[in-house]
Amino acid sequence: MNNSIYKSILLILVLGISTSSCTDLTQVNPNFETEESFWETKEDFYQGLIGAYDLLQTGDMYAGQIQHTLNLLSDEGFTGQLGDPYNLATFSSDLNNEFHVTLWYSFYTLIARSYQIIERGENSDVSGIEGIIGEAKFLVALSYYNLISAYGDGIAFVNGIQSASDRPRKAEPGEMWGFTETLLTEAIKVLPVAYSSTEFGRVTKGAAQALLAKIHMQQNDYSAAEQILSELIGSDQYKLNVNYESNFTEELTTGNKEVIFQINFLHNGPQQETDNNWFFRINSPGESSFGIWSDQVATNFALESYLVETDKDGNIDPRLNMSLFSNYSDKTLYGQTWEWWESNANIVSEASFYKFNENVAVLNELNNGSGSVQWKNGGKDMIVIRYADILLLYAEALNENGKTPEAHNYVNIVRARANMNNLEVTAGDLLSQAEFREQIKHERLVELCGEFIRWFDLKRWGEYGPQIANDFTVPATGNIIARDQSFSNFRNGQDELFPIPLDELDLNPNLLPQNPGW
Amino acid sequence: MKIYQKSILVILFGMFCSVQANAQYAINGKVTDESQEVLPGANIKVKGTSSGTATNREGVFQLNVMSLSDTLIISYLGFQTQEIPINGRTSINIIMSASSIAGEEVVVVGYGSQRKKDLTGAVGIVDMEELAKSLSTNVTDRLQGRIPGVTLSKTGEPGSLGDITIRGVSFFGDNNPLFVIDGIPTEDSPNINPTDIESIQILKDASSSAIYGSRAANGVVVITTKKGNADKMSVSFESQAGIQQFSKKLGVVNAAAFARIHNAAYDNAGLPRRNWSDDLSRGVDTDWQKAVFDDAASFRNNNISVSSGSEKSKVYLNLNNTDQNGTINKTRFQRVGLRLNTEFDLNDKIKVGQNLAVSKTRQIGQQYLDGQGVIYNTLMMFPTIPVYDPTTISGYGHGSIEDAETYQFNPVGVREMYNSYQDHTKIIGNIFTDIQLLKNLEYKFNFGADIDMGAARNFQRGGQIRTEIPHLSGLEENSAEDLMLVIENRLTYSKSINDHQLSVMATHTEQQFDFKQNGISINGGFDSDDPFFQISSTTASPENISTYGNQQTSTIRSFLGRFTYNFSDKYLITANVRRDGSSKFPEKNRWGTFPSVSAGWIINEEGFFNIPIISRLKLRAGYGVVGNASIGNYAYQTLIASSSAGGTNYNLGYGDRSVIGAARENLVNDDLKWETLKETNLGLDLVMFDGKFEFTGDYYFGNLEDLLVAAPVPGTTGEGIGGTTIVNVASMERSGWELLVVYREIEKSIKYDITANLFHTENKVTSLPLGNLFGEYSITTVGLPIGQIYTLGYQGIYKEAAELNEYTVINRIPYIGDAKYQDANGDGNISAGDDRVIVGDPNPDLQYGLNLNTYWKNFELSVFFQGVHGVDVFNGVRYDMDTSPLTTYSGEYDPYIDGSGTDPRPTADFGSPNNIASSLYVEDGSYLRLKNVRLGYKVPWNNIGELTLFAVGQNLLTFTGYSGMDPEFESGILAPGVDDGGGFPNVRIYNLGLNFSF
Repeated sequence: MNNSIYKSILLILVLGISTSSCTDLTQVNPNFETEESFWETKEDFYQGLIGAYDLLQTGDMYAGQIQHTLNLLSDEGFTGQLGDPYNLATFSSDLNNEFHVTLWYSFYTLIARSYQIIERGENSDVSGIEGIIGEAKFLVALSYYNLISAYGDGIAFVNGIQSASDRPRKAEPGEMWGFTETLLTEAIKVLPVAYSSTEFGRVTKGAAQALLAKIHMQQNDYSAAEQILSELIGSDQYKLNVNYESNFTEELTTGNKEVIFQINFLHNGPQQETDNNWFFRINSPGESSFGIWSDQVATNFALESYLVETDKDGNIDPRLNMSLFSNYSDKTLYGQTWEWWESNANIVSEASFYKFNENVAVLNELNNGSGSVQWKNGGKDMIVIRYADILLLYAEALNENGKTPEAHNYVNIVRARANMNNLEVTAGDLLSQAEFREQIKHERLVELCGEFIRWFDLKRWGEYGPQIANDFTVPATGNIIARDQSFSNFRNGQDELFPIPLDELDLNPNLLPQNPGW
Repeated sequence: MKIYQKSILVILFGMFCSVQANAQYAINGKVTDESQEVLPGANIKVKGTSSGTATNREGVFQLNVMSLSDTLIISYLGFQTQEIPINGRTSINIIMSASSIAGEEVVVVGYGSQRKKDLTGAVGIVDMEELAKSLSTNVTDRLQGRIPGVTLSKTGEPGSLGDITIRGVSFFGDNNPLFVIDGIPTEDSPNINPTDIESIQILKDASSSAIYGSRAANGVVVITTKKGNADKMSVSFESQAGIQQFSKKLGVVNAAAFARIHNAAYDNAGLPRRNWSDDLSRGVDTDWQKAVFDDAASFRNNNISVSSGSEKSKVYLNLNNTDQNGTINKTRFQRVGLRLNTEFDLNDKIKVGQNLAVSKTRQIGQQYLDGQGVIYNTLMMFPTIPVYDPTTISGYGHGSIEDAETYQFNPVGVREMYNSYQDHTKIIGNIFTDIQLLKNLEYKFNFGADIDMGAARNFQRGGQIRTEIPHLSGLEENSAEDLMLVIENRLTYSKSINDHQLSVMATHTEQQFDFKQNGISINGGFDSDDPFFQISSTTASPENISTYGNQQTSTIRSFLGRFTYNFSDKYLITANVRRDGSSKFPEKNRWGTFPSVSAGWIINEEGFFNIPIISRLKLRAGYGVVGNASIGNYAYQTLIASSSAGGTNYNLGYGDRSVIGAARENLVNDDLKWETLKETNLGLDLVMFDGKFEFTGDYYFGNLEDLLVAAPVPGTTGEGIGGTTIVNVASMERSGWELLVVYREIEKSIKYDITANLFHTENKVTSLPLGNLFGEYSITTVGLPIGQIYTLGYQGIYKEAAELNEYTVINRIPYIGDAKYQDANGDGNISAGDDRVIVGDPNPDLQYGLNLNTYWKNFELSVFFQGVHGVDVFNGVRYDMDTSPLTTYSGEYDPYIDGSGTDPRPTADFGSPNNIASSLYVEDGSYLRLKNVRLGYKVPWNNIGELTLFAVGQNLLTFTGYSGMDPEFESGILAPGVDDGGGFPNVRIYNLGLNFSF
């Protein structure tokens, strides 16, 4: 073997060895921050909180699914769509109905994101994050408020960050209500009463108080509710807008003093942050050829309720025009009048919901005006808790606590803003406690129709069952209104609660037994 | 350069068919087999020239040669090709011996090669001659039915690459074997030109695959591409063309039958009938399959190869062009590829070489919209909807919901308005050098790269292709780059002392994978009349344009070694060990060690062995531990996602400002580690009757441990619907047997050979501590194989009033004609969840392949059957059709209407118990398929070159009781028995071709 061969062998060996170990076995994901470097500053916790709020504006939550579900379940809403929506609205759902599933997963996801903040925050020495932790506690309580209402109080008890192998236990009867009260009581202590104009939309002390009051009300604990509502009203942070409609028509650039908690959508932002363009096109009295469906419509009961009493000037209750799109509307839906809808769409209902409707559709590129529409990314905010709701709840609590005359005052504040006579004027006298109890059902409907509150009310009043199909008498005027007939299908012992999603039970047998009837 | 000049001259002369060589010596001879039977039609060629001849009916040949020192090459199908120097003789008698029995062939086993007869593990050696008869455009699809233990999941979509599974599904994540092409490990099914492949070896058992350690648990497919011929130049040209069609149209109802059922469905639900079903006076009766399927889709494939070389250099060059139209209009696959392989001996100690393949492909696949493919839409569309309706916006919309409520897309509209394609430019290659350091010590250096540059485009004109809702124009573009680099240093020491032969190999190798991609998606903003789809030409506003981009890197570092020992060709031992470190795992679990050992005993070499009819008898046994990592990169790292534009943002402030937030991206387990397979393999090789009969049998059993499972997690973890996380929790047993039998008859005038394989593989889950895994209509549970079909048990329909009170079905009292289900938990109420039972096993009892070749004169006929037996399928297409008012109905459906019919009543009530998945839709998916028939004729055209004409048919006949379009379908790991109709059925191909070489 000659020298040059040895040299070349040497060269290749050196080459081989020098090119070895060119790889690094530690590779960190270059696309995202990892958890190891997060949750270390106040800004991190703030970002985490924003990440939790983010869920509220998703399609599975307040960009449509929650509203859709709650409307169908109430006596003010119905649907023109077969399948899962129709089955839900007519109490003929089977176990697989998609509406049974979504709320569970959405709210437990919100709980999980919130506990990232609460648990890490409470174990952290980062200062100045108490308020952020309080906001997260509110979000947990809001989630349980919805979950208990839908699935009952035998739901999964989650009070911390969950690992993949955690299988939370089934909550004891009544336990979850108490747990939410604790969370909110802690939150109220640390939450600010208001934020700067650039932070408007975050959870305030008032929002936590309002939710706590609602939780007491749902348990029919009227004295605890009265106390906290009285504090909230006395805080002087909130007032009714002069104009009822302004809650729903315009984005108030100076903040809406009637709003206690709302979901903020972004005006003309990317679809994921406005989303109304999808879920609010399901609000029409009938289907039209331009891709609008009657997925959620109002019942005749809702419409008739507005017609029992005129305002001070003898006109139709002005709240009707904003609440329902109907033959009585002077408004347009997607640019078209009621008459247009009657002649161009297959009307399935005499009215559809109008509040929060994006109502903005631009003609699209296809046909320049022949009917098809392109949906604009709107961004109208969705109010979850409004001061008028609080005033009516306070009236209800006062009445239940035997303070019926005082209760009239708070109903009258709400009625006055809508140019309605005081209740005792309409009725001719103060109502009795029992009459007032019925009247408040009517008052809440005409004030809050289409705001996805009715179903909680029906549950609180203990009347969520087949009896809702019976006629309703408005005590103050004596009118008798036919109520939602779909409740006649209500399966006692089953439809009171949603079934716990089957997949969840498969994975977590601790949650057995399934809810009654399923 | 001299040889090249000469070669070029030969080519030129060859092309003009005017051979100028002056023949000077006439020789003759006779060709027979070992038993003195004459072999008519045997080919005789003069080495290094283009001259040659064939034997006549008496096996006699005559030939003129330039020199009596030339060498003759004698070839005959079924026999080993021989090279015989003339050595001055003018009359030469030649005895041919049957091929493939020698066992002296060298097979590549990974980081080295072994003689076939020295193998101690279960290694499947692919017969490349048989594989070349297939028309599939990729090598994986061609392997189906050829090697026992190897199964394929594939479709008829042009350009699709079938997925190979070796010894069954063993992992919940990834069951793709490792492909090693010329020493370069690649992860995916290789998109290389099958013509370029010289050999394929499949390392099936853990003892033979362990040399690939952490990526070997699904088996290893070792592919070696062609090298140039050492001593002659040859040019070969192969061209084939044909037509393709779906082998079956699905039976669906016509408009009248549809309307009858559809009307009854709405009547039964108490809902108004749909206009177009209630009133058939428009006369529409669309056959959607006819409108969409192409019964004569063209197929072309051309290869031209040049192979050349001398003793010190070898060159192989191939140019390939494939063009396959799909059997649904507009789908297509095109490939242009080039390969150049060279090898040079610098001197007697140093060899250098390279392999390089460059290809450019374009694939236009089936369009998917909202997760539904065009084929699914075609099957599901109502016959009452016209293909084209000028009253809708772009002609492909279909009425209002009152007319025909369906959410299917008009498949013709999709074809006309949507476009998409995927381009790939792939470069795979390596350079290597072999150096004889010492007499017994060899060093090899290998550096390889596998580069894939992909570009995909989807765009559509605005318009309407469904009920009521129009769609906007749009454009999506994505470009991605995959870059893999591998480096390998290998030392091999081998030594023979008397009867002892041993070798030791040690290797260090590292691999790095880089991936990056970016893309843009534009919604709207393109003129529909004059479409001009470029990013820069859109008029869409910024909020309708979104972009993305990301990148990934992963690395593997490995040290490995092998020891082999052979005593006197009787006793064989092979031991491997490999240690792999991977960036996919956290530091504490990063390294894994994978050892194996195997032994062989060649009994017929023993002195005491005296059974004359047995020419070889070998026993093999092996045990190995191999690994797998079916997880993505960075899987152990918990990420915090944060981005603008629709990410985890929320809006605050009076004036609405979008505030960027952050949220945990994934629920991870930071203790991920290697999955392992520990397997024992026992084998027996038998050759009898002088090579006429061959048998190979293998039996294996083993355990899969620490399996990574994408375990579903409860919603309470915050992962949402269908949330999962990956954990090493499951374990499984797997076992099976494989038989391969070959019989050759070579002594008669009609010669034939039969190759049959039969195998059975089974897995059984032994531990799933986080609970059962659920796939579509399927469950994976302890004690049973993966993916059992899991639905309600169907028991016919209620026929008599007396039966109606037996149960409630999801709390409803049934009517006559409603489905009756098994009350599995005996609670008196049928529940869609609690009463599910296992109603079928999708794992076949037997799988087999049968190949028959016959030779008569210049004709050759091959027939290849492939099948599976004892397999259950949930026919998801029929279920979707026959349980929903939103789709058409299958031709099989005989619903109870007006007192007659045997299937459950139709109803438009979605919550109806009749619409729940049940065993009614479980069918026997066994099939026997005539996979390939090829008739070849070798034109006696001796002096110029070799010309073979052939006709091939693929998937000509299928014997099955399955009512779906194709009993072969792609499915998910956890729902292997569910045919959800999303795929592209396999196609029948009729092809003609020629192969010309000189």
